[in-house]
Amino acid sequence: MSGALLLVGGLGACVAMAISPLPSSEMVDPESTRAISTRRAELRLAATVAAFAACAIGALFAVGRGALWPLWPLTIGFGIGLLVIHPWILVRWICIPLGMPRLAWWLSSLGGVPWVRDPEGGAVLAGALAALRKRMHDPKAAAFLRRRLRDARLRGAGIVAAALLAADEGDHARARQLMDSLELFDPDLCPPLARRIAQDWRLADDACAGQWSRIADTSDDLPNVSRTARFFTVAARRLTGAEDAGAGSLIRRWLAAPRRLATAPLLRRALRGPVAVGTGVSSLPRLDARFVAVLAANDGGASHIEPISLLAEAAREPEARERAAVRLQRLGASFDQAFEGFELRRRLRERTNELEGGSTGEAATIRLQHDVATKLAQLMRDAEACPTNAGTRPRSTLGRARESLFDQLFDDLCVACAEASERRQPLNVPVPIGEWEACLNVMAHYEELRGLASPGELRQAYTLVELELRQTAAWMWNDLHERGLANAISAWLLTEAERVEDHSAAAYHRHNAALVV
Amino acid sequence: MPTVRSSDSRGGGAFCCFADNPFFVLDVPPTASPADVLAAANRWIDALGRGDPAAQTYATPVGPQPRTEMVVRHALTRLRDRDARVQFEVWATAAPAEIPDEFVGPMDGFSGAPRAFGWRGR
Repeated sequence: MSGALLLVGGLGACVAMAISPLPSSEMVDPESTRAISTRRAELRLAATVAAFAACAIGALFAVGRGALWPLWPLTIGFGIGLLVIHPWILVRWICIPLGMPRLAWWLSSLGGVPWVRDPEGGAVLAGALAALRKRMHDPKAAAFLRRRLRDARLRGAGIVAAALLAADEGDHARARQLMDSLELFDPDLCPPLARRIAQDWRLADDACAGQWSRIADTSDDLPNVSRTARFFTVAARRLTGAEDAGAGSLIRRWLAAPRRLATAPLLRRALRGPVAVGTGVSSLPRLDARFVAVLAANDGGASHIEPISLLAEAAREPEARERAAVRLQRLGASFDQAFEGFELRRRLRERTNELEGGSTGEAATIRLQHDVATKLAQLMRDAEACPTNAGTRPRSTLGRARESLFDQLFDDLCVACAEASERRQPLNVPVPIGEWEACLNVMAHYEELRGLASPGELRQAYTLVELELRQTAAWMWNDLHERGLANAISAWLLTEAERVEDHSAAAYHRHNAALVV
Repeated sequence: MPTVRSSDSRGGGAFCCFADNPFFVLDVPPTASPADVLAAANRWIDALGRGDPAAQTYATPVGPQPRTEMVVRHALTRLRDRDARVQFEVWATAAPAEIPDEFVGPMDGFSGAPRAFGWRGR
């Protein structure tokens, strides 16, 4: 009976070897990332099949001779061989849960699934995952992993590892920026598990910040989503009232997810149903009907005080981004009215004369106008909103605010470009993750400016950014051999070139983005 | 202490004209004479020295703010600049407001989220 089973096993091994994938004819460039990662996967599969086949043949031979004792050593040998070929089994179930970052890195350095697309970055990512399981932040382990990352070619798993290490140090903004940058990478450069970890981390970050609507908007079609992420999505939809997710469905998702004790508080909260955003308003003391008309929002009070009161009321808004454009438009119109009227100017002139200051009433008005424009610019930046009419009247308060904000953002963009340029100097030792972060900084500043700038201004900003990032991409490709990063920069520049209709730049970056990485 | 938004706290943001306004810090009207301003500053410094709980905070249109001796002295210095005082007077025309304890901005977060994914909490 056992002989027949072993025979079936041996036959199965042969079938597996027969159906193992061969190099595809689509692999035009054998040095491409896809070709290399496919070869790595094939090697591991072939090694697994060979180990199994050797074990099965040895067992068949022993059983044929009537000796059963070699079966145990053969099985143990096969187990050890399997762990060497696929060290992730040990890393996943022992090193990471027990918080052993160095051992996790060392074992993962042996390669194999799931890091075939980025073995070096994957090893550091495994170490970072183990570091996050430790009770306290371990600076020595973090420094060790960062050194390993500096030596590695930067790809998807390396980016996620760098982000997790930044988060481990408490730099969540930097971690978020790096996690978000994964979207720019060619899928062939990013192991699916690294993408899933990034997705989970972003979701946890949003949940910590109470960004439930962002979680609720997560598409159901995303591939490779973890069970915990699915539970969080359903819980967020229930909390925001975005979808009438039933309690049964929520409980099923919770039961399917691991670490139920940790997720139980969220389950209880979600089961209570939707929570209205900004519920603090409902707890405000009831307003006396006689005073409703006096509120600035209801055009009450003296005209020169109205914009000041409106600004104070804006400060008390529970959610700054909600209705921000309308609020800014109202504020701008109100300040325009006050500055164009006589009352505010007269008061400023009178007070300046009474106090006998060094400036005139007119100078005080100009100073106040400048101050107001700066404040509205700050509000626009905080709310990431620009009223549609802000650019149409350049001398209006909103127009000045928009100009002020544009100048500020453009200056920030110039500084970011100068910093990125500085990193290319021959005296600096290039650190790929540092170069990538400098590029992300430039992109982030450009994208912030994009929401505010007119088409002409955006073209001007793009010319500046393109000049800088084009050189950085070429430097990364030619000197650092960081083809993945160069490709991501070219792809981003291509998208933006098409947006600003810069056809020559688009053609150049289309060619670069199509190069095999 | 309920406050408005962390990014708009004293020292920066669009609403510092209310949160840091010397007239609110000293609790004097914009029409107060320099002598009244000086008297108010001395009164608050004395009260703070005695540990008077009523002196620990001051009301502003963006909710109560903490008052310390340094804040009071800084307010006094700022009001000595007559050109700056004219500007502060304009912003001080807004009425102070109470922000309710239950004031919440965006919906509360779930701080246990990293643990739910198996990572160390924040």
